[in-house]
Amino acid sequence: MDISIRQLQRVDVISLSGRLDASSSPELKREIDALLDKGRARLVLDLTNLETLSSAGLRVIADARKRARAFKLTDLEGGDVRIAGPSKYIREVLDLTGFSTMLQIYDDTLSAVGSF
Amino acid sequence: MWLSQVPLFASLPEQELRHLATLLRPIALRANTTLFREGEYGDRFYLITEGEVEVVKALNTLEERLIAVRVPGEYVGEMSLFLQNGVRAATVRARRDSQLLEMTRADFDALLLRQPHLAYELVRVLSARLRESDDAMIRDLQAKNELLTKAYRDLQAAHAQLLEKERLERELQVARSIQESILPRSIPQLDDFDVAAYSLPARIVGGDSYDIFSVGEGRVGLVIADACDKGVPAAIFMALTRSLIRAEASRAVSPSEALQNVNRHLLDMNETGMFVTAIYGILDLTALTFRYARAGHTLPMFISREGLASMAPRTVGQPLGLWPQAIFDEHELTLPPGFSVLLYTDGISEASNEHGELFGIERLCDVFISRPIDSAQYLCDTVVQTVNSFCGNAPQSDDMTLLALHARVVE
Repeated sequence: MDISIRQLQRVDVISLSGRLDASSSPELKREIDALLDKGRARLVLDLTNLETLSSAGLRVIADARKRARAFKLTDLEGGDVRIAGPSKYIREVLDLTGFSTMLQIYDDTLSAVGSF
Repeated sequence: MWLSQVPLFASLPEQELRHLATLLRPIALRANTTLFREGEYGDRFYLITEGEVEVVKALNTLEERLIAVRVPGEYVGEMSLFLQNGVRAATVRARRDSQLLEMTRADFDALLLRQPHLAYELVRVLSARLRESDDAMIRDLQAKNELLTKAYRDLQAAHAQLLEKERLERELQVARSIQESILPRSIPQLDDFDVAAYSLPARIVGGDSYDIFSVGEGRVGLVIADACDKGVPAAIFMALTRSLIRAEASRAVSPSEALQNVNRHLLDMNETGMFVTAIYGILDLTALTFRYARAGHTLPMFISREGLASMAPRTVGQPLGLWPQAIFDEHELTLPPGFSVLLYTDGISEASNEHGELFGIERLCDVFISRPIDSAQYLCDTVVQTVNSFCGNAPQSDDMTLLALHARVVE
């Protein structure tokens, strides 16, 4: 799986391509933890090019969201992890596991970034 | 003249040097050619005028070591000048193309007679040579000793690693047998239904589980669950969840109520962020219904008597151990004769072949076309065979579990 990170002014966009599963999820966790350690807690996960999402990946996303939301950022908003551009298949996984009820999901990265 | 540059001859008078220059015979030595060998009889002494030669003890044996490298102005073979029937103490060979001047014992004896003080110079040089040889030998032994010590330590470390690996493997096997013993020993025989199960971890222990137990009079609880990981941590978390589900099932009225309580317990004790997807359903043997709650797990598949497969309705069901007030997807269905319910983990639906293609829900539904099911065991076996032949030689990437329920046809 490839991870590329774009740092915008207030938000960081993490784009994933390939498969997020038990073997690739530790790498994603490291990248996200590094951002959170630096106080960058407004994160958009761009899943446009993600092929599959397994429960190990869901765990990383759930943990990241919990950590991000625990941040108290100066302008009265907490951090968050929001999803952008999931394919129909990924969307189904998010729906079936009820993640779409808890996480904010947007059709594209622009909207996701703008939501912060 | 240049002969006076040779330390041994530095003290000789001009006249003697000139005489010597006429006596000495020039010899050319190509690189890697041996001048003389250790153990050979020798009575010549050589001055190096150009190039480089090596003095080597025990050449071509395990004990081989380089004593010295002699350069222009230095000499070799001096020992043979004093020892009657002397043998060479070392092998000398050219390192590079070299030029030497040769002096015989007879020449040297005559020289010594003429210039007796040369003897002192010689004694001094010979002592230095002896010390040099000893030093080289001692250094050599020290180096060998160090190598041996290191090799021994490496061996000890490797041995310790091997023992540790064996210990871990033994522990994993113990964990595996514990896990296997936790699974229902045998599937209860029911009058109107049959149940079958299949579970194969991707590693020695796995994060999948299933369970079947009685929930009061005329009701049977069925569980399938998947911890979000593989290996020992997932297996431990799953064992915990399983016990909680059993405990709550005996107290709760509905499947979703039971799962709500399990969720609360898991949140209370769970610092690891692990979660479990599960389906817990109650089979009512009198009413012939199946009522289940789905906690984020893969959708159950329903197969009609004619072999038509469909997926359960898609509503929200959230995993256990993740969020408080989790929403569970609860449904109830009647099970007419010949009807089957298949519960499975994503190790089945996302099994991949060597090309990275996933087995998928569509293929799972297609398994039963023109394959009427007459028993839950047949259902399980058919799914397993189809998935295995799809995957071919690709390694199993996730734990695979099936739990099948079939309503018997009574003729």
